[in-house]
Amino acid sequence: MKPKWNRKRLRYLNTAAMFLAPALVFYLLLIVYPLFQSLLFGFFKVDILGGQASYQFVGLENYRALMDDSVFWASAKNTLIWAISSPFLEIPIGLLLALYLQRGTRLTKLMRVVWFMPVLLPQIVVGIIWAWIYNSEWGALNQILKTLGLETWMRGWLGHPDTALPALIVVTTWTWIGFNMIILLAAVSSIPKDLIEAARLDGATRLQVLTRVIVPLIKPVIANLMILCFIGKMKVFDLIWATTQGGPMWATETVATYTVKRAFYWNTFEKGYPSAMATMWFVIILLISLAVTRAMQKRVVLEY
Amino acid sequence: MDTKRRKFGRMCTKILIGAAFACTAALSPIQAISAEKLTLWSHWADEQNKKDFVMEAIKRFKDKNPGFEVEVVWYQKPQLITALTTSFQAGSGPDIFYLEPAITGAFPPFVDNGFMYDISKQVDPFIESWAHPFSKKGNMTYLLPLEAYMPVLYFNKDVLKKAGVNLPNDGRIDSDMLKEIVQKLKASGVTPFSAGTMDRDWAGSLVTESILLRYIGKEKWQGIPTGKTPWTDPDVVAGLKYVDDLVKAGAYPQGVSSIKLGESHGLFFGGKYGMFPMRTFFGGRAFVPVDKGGMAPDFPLGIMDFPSVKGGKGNGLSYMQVGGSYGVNARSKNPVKAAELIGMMATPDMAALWMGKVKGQTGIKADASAMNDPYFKMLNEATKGLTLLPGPMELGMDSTYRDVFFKTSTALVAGHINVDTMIKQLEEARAKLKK
Repeated sequence: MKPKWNRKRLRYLNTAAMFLAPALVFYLLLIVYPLFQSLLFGFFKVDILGGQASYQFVGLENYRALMDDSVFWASAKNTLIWAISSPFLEIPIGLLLALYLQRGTRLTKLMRVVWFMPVLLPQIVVGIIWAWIYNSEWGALNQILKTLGLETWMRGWLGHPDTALPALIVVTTWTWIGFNMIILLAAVSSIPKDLIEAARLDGATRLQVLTRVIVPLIKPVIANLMILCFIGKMKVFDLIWATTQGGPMWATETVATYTVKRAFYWNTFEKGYPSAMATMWFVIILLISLAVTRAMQKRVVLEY
Repeated sequence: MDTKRRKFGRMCTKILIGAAFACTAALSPIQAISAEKLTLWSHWADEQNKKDFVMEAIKRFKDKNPGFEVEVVWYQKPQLITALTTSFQAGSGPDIFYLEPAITGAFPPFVDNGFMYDISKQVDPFIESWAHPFSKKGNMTYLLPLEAYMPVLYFNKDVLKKAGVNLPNDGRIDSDMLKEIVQKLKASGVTPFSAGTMDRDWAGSLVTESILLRYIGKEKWQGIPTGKTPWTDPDVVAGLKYVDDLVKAGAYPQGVSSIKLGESHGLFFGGKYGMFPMRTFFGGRAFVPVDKGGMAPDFPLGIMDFPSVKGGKGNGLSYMQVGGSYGVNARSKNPVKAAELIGMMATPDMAALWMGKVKGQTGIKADASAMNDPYFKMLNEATKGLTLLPGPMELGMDSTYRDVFFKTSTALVAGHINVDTMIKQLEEARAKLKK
């Protein structure tokens, strides 16, 4: 049935439009327009100079060059390693912390703040702190290893191609477990206590309660956190910029850092190739996110 | 109802257009530059001596032009590059801006695209002839080559003495002697070189390109950026293998690629490192108070040139590089006044002030008095008789090729790859260059 266009409805819609318009304009100007422009630029050699752009249609040439760009694929690999490993680190640790907090000890309030605090820090600050911790000469980590008699383990953690990426993954895990913890704490707290007590009465161990009652019941939340974490890490930029800037030997180069370098630090005024890079990565993220969301949604049906 | 629907549609359109205008107005910069105001964007946010120099030039300009305002925005270099690039793309930008020949991608596009105003009238008589390749194109002068530097080996006299190193009277060493110094320092429990490459991609290539110059000579050295000289050339390979020998002898700190450039200065000033291969902008960081990261006044500083090589084709050659420079935006509303301000930096007494305050070299002709400084006497002694080429080697390299050169050079000195791997990667990059 078609909606009726009476005066009351019209007034309601006008009001809604007035409230939505500013945000919508920002969204169109700052998200949708650049997105479509990037899509378009990917098919051109674009030189933007002095407020004027010159376009030379090159078809799929930028994408063909991308296929041969070993640094792009190395950065794509690094990004995927990061995006895939992070959910499996951040969410389980966040869940364990949430369960600890839910038990309610004397330290609960303090620990909640302490564990959540890294989320509030700007990534640049996080980068500086951890660059100090990882420093090969006076970093806390190497000093601890030295104290423990593990001198052979001492190294420049961010300076070696084998350890730089894992070291940064540890940093993002440290940063984001607090966020996951808070969301999971809310989810765990919403589970009816009867269910857990019933499981206990039936003789379930703590591990069984966790794996067979709690986790299945909060699966939708876990699924959403995994998707959020995955997408977030596919775009990771600021931490790397503050620490390794993609080095050593492209070991921590991600698609985001490489795109920025190509757009602003290399052939400075040419925007076609970096646009193709950004577009390709956008499509990859979109497809993977859709696939993961679909897979998660299929499995997540719960009632209690 | 259709009328009401159309009315609603028109209302939405009006709101969107109104909001778009409001947003555009809110976002539109900032570039309504007053006719009596100059804007200057510069690197050196954390280098007080250089800031003092620039502020002195501004003071002189304002004294001569009362009522003229000069707004200075200090940046760190990466942020400055981004700000300049985006603002010039948008057709705006400051009146005066910092630029340096080695800024990736920014040069020569800034010149070739007509962004630079000719400042030859104001500065030409004061520029050293060796700095012309960095500051002129044809008859046009687009940069004031303020900061200049060359690569040398700084050393701690006391640390070398304790390690049993006896330098020749003239301070000149050859490649075998450098190896011996590294071995003696290592044996005495000292890390021979202080170095940090984490936040400066060029820092890992500093020793390599100076050593290569001595091995391969001018022609081949200048053929590397263009791809003319292959990395498989026997002289090039010999030079790289020599660097690798130094690395294997433990010349570099274990965590060289996780140490920042500023930290590497601090480590050297701390007295636990024997030598410090660095460009002569070292003075800008060294001659500041200790609590600001500088060198102690009684630090036993020595300077020597890079080693000569037996049978080398480039002994007696080094390079001079122009760093921080200033240019005028061709779109400035006050290009003449902006050029006049730059001209204030270009006088011989200001050049002497630069040398005295910053303890760095400059492409501006300076008062002879500046050379009486003990630091410059020591520097001149160490580099006497060298023929200086425009450098560094990577100047003019294609961006991708340069990235591979920097990354592999850093990996070589960090011991992450060997010479064969480095050559393989560089040859792959060179092959793409030829395409």
